[in-house]
This record gives sequence, C-alpha cells and structure tokens, in this order.
Amino acid sequence: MTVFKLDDTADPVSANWSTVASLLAPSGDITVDRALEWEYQPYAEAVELASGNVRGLGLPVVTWKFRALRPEQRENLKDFCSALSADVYIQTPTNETAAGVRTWKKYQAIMKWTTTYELVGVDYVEDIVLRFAHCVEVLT
Amino acid sequence: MTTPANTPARAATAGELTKYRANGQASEYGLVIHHPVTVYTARINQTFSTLDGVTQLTYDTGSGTLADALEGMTVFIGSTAGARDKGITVLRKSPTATVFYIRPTSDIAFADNDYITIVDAFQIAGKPIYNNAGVVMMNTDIKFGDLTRGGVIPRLGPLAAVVEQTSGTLTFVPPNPEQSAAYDGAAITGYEFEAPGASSTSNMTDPDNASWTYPLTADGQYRWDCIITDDLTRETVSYRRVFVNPTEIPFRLEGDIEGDVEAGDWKFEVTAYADVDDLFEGAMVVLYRREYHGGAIENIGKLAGFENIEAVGWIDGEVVEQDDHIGWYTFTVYGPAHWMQKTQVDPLELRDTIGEATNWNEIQEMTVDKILARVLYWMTTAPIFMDCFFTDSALRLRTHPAQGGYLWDVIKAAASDKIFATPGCNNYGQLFVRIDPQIAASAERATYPVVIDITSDDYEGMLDIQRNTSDKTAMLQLDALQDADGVTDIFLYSRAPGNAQNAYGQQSSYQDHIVADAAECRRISGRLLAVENNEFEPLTIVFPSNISLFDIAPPMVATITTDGSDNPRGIALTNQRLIPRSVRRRMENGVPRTEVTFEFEVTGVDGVNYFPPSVEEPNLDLPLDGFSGIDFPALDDLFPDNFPPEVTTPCNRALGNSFTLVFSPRTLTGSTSQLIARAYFPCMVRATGGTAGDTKIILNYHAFGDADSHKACYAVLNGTRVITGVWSGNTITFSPVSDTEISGFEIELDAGAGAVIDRWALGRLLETGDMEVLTTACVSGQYYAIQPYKGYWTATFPAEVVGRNFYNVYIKPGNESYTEGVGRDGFGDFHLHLEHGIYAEGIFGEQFNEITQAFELAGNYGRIYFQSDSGFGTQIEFSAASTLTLGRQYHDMAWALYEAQAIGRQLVIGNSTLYNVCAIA
Repeated sequence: MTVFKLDDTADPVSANWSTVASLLAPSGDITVDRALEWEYQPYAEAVELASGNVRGLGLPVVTWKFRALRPEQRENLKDFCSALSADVYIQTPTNETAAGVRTWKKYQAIMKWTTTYELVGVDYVEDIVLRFAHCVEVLT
Repeated sequence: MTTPANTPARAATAGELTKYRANGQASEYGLVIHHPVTVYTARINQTFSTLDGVTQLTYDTGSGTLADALEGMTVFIGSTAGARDKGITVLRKSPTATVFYIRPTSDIAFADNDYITIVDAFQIAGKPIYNNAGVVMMNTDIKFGDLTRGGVIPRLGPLAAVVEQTSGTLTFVPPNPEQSAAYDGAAITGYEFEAPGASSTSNMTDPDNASWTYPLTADGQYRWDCIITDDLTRETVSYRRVFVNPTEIPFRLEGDIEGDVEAGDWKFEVTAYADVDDLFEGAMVVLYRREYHGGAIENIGKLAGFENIEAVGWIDGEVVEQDDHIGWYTFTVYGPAHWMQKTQVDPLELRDTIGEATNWNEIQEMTVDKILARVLYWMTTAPIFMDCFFTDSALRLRTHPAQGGYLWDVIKAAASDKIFATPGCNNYGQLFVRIDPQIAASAERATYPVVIDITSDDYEGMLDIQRNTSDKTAMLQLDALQDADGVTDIFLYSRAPGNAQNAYGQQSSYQDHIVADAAECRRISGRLLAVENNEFEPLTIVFPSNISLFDIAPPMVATITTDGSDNPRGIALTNQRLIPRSVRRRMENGVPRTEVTFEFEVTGVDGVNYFPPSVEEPNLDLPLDGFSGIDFPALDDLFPDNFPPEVTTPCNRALGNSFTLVFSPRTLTGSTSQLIARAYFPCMVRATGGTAGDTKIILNYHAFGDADSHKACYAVLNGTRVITGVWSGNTITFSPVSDTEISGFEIELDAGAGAVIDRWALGRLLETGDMEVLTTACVSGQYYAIQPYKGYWTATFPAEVVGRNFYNVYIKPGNESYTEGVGRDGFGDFHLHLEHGIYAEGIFGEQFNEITQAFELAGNYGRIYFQSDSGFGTQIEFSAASTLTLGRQYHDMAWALYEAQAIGRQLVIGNSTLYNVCAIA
C-alpha cells in the first residue's frame, strides 16, 4: 500500500484501482516519484476554540502536483474528471509515519481539476495540480 | 419496530457530545424538489354565469382514480392539458363523478373545456367560512356537528423524510402518532397507517410498532398517511412524504440556513442549476445533509428517521438571471410560518359555553388550545399535512373574537396575546404553540431538555457578553382575566417591581391576558419585568461543529458556566440557562458552523397586587370647587377592587352630596356561599337629624324568591358592622346618633335556597373523574350538579342506532332523597334517568344530515342537580339504562362535578347612589 492510486467509484475494492504509475505510462522519462509532488492537509480548516484548543474542521484535502505531463498522460488523468470535478477513489500518503514508515490512506474524494488556464508547452503540459477535497476514508 | 416518540427536542448524549467535539466536522447538503404527480385529469363541462366565488366545477372526460383526488390537493386550471396558466386552486372535499368541489375562487377565468389537473401537492390555505342565513358553515358547506370530515389534530411527524439507502432493506418507521388529539371532547380510538408504494407493511394499525419498506430504486417519491378514528365515528386523515435516494441536484446554498423565533420559521436560499424548468410554484423543497464527525459519517438529529433533515418548506420568491452565458435561478424556501403569515382566514367570533357547543361559534369550556384547533383544523388546510402542537394550557376564556386576517396573526392573538404562548415552526416544519420559556412556570421549565452544557471547547473565538447596567423598564403592569368559570369575569392586576417604580426605564403594560389566579398574575408580572430588564443581552455563540439539535421550537435550553477570572470585570455565569432564539447554520468548503443566539433565562421577583381606580361618575360633592384628585387608599381585603372618590365635604358644614356606590358582586344567591356584597367607601356617616339629611343609599335591585325578606345592609368599619341600615323600598337609611366613621357598606342575603326554587345554574367546576370515584367532600345541605362530560355508551338496541354514539345515562348520587326522573333521547327512548336527585335536565337534539340523509343526534348531555346530605364517598354512580344492553365505564365515560345554584332566593344588585356623607377628619 505504498503507491498512488486513482480510479472512479465504480469499484470500491482498492486492489482494483488504477495506479498512478500505470496512468502515466508509457512515459519513459517521467517517473512517478519525481513527477508527482503531494500534499496532505488533514482538515480543510482549523479554528481556535475559546479554550485555546484548536479544532480541525472539514475533511482532509489532498493535492497532487505534476510538474509536467505528456498529453497522453494528461488524458489518462482527465478521464476520471471529464468535468471540473468528479467522485473518485484515491490512495495517497499522509503526513503521518509509524516507526518511520509513511502512512498511506485510501479515500473517496471529490477530484477537482484546475479551473484556471494550464501551461501548455510543445510536448508537455506543465504544473498540473489535482486537488482532492472532501476525502472520506474507505477501508476496503 | 418501535415507533419513535414524536418529540423533536432532546439533550445530546455523552457519546454525541464527544462526536460534536471531535476534529473532522464536515457536512454535505442535498436538495429534493417535490415534483407532484398528477392524480386525476378532466375538463370543465359547464358554462359560468359568474366567475365570482366559484365553488365547484362540473367536469367530464375524467382520467385517473377519482378516490386519489383528496381534500387539500392542488388543482391546476389550464388552457392546455396539464397546464396551470389560468390559475391554481384547492380541492375542498372529495369529488363526485361529475363535480369537483374547490375552494371559493374568484381570480380564475374558468371556461368550458378548460383542463383540470389534480396534483398530489398540499399547501397551506385558508378554508373560507360561509354564512348561510345566519348559519355559519366551515369550508363553504360543513355544518357544525358534521361527522364526515374528521376533527382530530393529527401529529404524525415532520413534513418529509429523506432516506439515502442503496442496499439492504429500506425500512421506514413513522413517528408515533399518539400525540394526536381532539379538542372537541372526542377520544381517539384507533390509528391506521397507509403507505402506497411500499414493498411490504407491518403492524399498520399499531401506533407503537408500525413500519413498512420501500424499494431501493432511485428518486422514489412516496406519500404515506394515517387514518385516525375517534369515538364520534369520525375519520381524520393526514399525509406526509418520504423521498428515497433522491437524484442529486446541482445547487448552491446562498447564505445561511436560518431559523428565527421572531419569524417563527426557517428559511434558506438556493441557486439551482438544473431540475427547475418544470418547477411548480410553491413546490415543497427539502434540504438534507450528510454530516461527519471525526471524519466518519453519522447524522445526529432530534428525531429518529429525520436526523438528516436540515430544513423543509415551500418555494416563495424566485430570481431568474437571464444571461446567454450563465443563466441561473435562485429561490427562497420558507417553512410553514411564512405561509401562515400570508394566508388569509375569515373572522370567527368564539364563545365559551358550559354545555356542549351547538354551532361553530361556541366552544365548550373554551381554552386557547380549543381555539387553535377550531381555527387550524376547520379554517385551514394545515393539519392535512403538518403537525400542530398546542400549549396544553387549561386556562379558560369566555369569549374570543378571532379577527380574521393573516392566519399567523390569528394564532398569535389567541396564544401570545392571551397566555404568552409563542408560535414557532421547527426545521422539520412542525408548528409548536408553547408558553414562552421566559414566562413558563418553573415546573414546565424543568421539562425542557438541556441540549448541551456549553464548555469553552464548544465554541470558537470569545464570548461577547453585553450586560445592561441600568433598567430599561421602571414599572410593569399586567392586567389580566382570571381563568374563567364560564360565568363571571374576574379582573386581576399586578405591578412589578411594586407600586414604587425603578429609578430608570419606561413604563410597560400588558393587557387582556388570562392567568390562573392572582398569584400567577403576580408571578408573570415579575417575570415580564425580569425579561424586559434582562441583565444580559442575547448572546451569540458559534459552534464549529455539526450540532443540529438546537431549534427555535419547541422550547429547549443550553447551560453555560464561565469563570469570572477570565474577564477583568469578574463577571461569571454559573449554570446559566440559555434559550435559543435564532439558529443559523452554514457550510463553506464542507466545513459546518452552527451559530446560535441565546436569550438568558430569567426568573425575576413576583410583582404585587394592584387595584386600579374605578370611578364611574365624577365627584358630585357640592359645592363644586373643583374636582378633587383620585386617591389611592390603603388596601382593604374586605372590599372589591374599585375605589371611590375622596369625600371632601366637612361634617360641620350642612352640604348635601351624592356619590356613585359600587357593590360587588352584583348577584347574591342564597343557595351558594356568595352571600355578601361590599362597597368600599371610606367616609363619615352623618349623625341623624342634621340639616344635610341622614345618610342614605338609593339602591336599584331585584329580589327573587323570598330575598326581599332575607336581606340586610350595614355600614362597616374595618370589618366590623357599626351601623345597620333601615331598608324601605329601595332606600336604605343610616341613623347613628353621632357622625360615625366607616370604611364601606355591606349587603347580606340570608343563606338558604328559599321556599320556591325555580332556576338552576352551574357554578364552578369542582372535580372530574372516572366512574364511581369521587373525592370532593360534598358539604351537607349544599347544592351540586353532576354530568357526564365525555365518552358514551354505545347501544346495541334498537337497531336503528347501532353504531351511533349518544349519551345514555343513568345518574344516581347515592343517599340523596328521591325526587323524580326524566329523560328521553332523539329516538324517543328513555336514556336519561335520574334517581336520588332533585332536578335533572337533558339537552337533546336531532339534526338532519343532508349528506347521510339521516337524523343524527347532536349535543346530547344529561345533568342532575342534587343537595348533599351525606358527605362524600363512592356514592356517585353512572350506569346503563336497563332497557339496553350496555356496559358500565364504557368508552372512557367520565363525569364532572360542579357547584350548583338552586336559585330561589337571589338578590341582583344594580346601580346605587350614596347621599349625604362627609369627610373623615
């Protein structure tokens, strides 16, 4: 459970979800580890309570940033989000570790494609940012 | 499955508090717009000589099941099939094969061959009253006593449920309907649920265990109902809706979802991007939510099965943005109170009656709840599809002119303006008319759920506590009527904080409210002053959580404790009870917040009795050297609550004078304990033989029976009779040897019914109870009346009355001397039998029902009067007439015991004038 996964919500079994690596194939020059930068925000917002404690509000927000994608790779990702948003399953690392090992989690989330312009180059689309909001953890 | 109690207010459990205080509070919203199905179509088959006040439509080419066209359903009138371009009206009763009966309508240009479309939608509307030659009929043609149109106030639960379930068995469990009630003396005898479209049903006649299942298919819209039967053989039907797996509608919430006690309602604004092109104006809309606590989904709500309902109402007000790039449509959804504030109802004069009501203007032992039931059930469509909960107040009114106008105002005039009951609708669309929490007595307050005890871990930011450091109200006066006994109005007055007003603030007053007694009047005046001088302004607290248990109705509270060391002023709140007055919920980026504005609950200090001056005529003291001021004399419990003018004539001057003298009560009856009438009038009675003349009273009165020879009049000083008046004709003369100070006069009638008793009247209600149980000690020699007041025996003979309900009473207060027996009923049978009483009366009525084409019994009751000579016990017996096969204690039979007046000796006192008194030195 240490790979990025992304799929639509047709099949809740995570073992059957597509790996991001497979979606980026047949890239020979962009590896997943280098191409996909991630962020994990455990709560959409934090608020300071009157007691001084801080409460996390909202569900986790996950961001995947791709430095550059070939058009075919972009197409493979965009297939999951033909409009500006779509319900998807993802598998992604979190900020937490256990015994020094990164903790990964599986979520049902709303995948949000960028609503602004994209940096379209000759062979690549640069700085594609995918935002996964409303992440509800799934255990399958 | 056990049906949940229909009580949408509760405290959060410990487990729920943990969830509210967890991280990961999130929510999603969904929207359901009701698209009512067409249940019947037809075309108008008539011409119209007038389009003013059309009440029925003759039709042909009908299509559909006529029985599906229900009272209260919406009727489209269109120039094409299914259209509503000509107008919308309401079915007022079940149709026949050729006629639809509609709400009287003047704003639709009906024409032959117009298209009629009946759709399965209910909306709040008034039912006009029709006055047919002096006979008031409800909803155009319902006569008083009609048993074919129901009459129970149904309480089945929220307007609608939304169920999201795509696997397993979808079981719907309705709320328990047993809080339904009749307010006209009937008793509910049964419940039967119906759930068209259900896959299976279970225990449908069991209010505690009914349930049914629905298919899991998407976008299911169902209507269920409950038929409530009562012991008058009436059937009352009410309807609710269930939406199953509704299709997601793309929409955006505009602003907060807001419930406010001032508005009495909830509302929300929505921009929808689809599913609105065929929207029906006034369509029902349900906003529902999925809430997350600690990242896990779980809806926590007030009522099982409805936890996810955020707000429900009907569309009013649209904004359509015309744009060739991005057109959009925004509308506002309002709960029932908004619609009640727009709904017109006709005026209705209501009167209390001791006996059974015989027309729409009468209510037996009229209370606010009975008024509300009369107005809401018979004059509006609301109970057809929504819950209406009332005050449970037993305070009685003698008259109530329901002025007509907006329905909401009519409700407030009966509730708020009489017993401080506030109407409000919760987010489920249920109406609650409850005594305002600030006014409610301590015992009632103790029943309110404490939703949460607020800690500093529950709210964000700081508390902005605004404290009033000076009074807003200097003095408050409450003028009220005491809980009526059906005969006499008793006025009560109280002032708070007392007769000395506070240093700051304005004066405030409340009039025409009903209170239980003088103590209650004092308590409420103190409470009102405390509310107006509340030390704290309303406090708004923002909960960064999905807490949805707060609502504006029914009454509920929260508590809070703060530490005085947390502010430099040292203000601390200790277990302070807070009343939610407005609730706003909002969601941004999936983050929910609940903003509640609370009023600080106050208790106050009871006010004091106040006796306003009552000057019926100006001071006639001669010579007139200017009117003297109105005095506030010392209180004297022996005298009634009115005050005479000051007597300024010196006793050493031979000046005549005259004053109006007011005795109270005006009626003395020898068979009762009310034997003395008093007039408070501090003055000096002149010594006999003076130039000014002897002091005398000219009294207008009427003596019944032997009262003329059993009456006396006295001048009284501080409770002691100091002079006896000599009564001659209507003149009572006082002839002391010297000027004598008095504080007033008394007229006394000797006790005793007199030799000839020719009238009988009920006095105050002493006790009600079930069969054969009496705890009131009947004082030997006193007169009483007893009558059954609810329930009945059902005859099995004769055949023509099988299934009908009527009183068939045999009344026997034991150990009394036998006098006579009377009785009959509408069929000529002997149904009221008296034994061991001295007078009996039965009121019977036969009324021809044009609908059933049969004579029906109406307004039957039996009552006997008796004189106790044997103390109390279980001697009171109601039993069946021997001519019929009847049972005892059948159908919830109960009795009421009254004080009675056997009127023979009676003195009715009119106006009187006092002559020739002088000033106390």
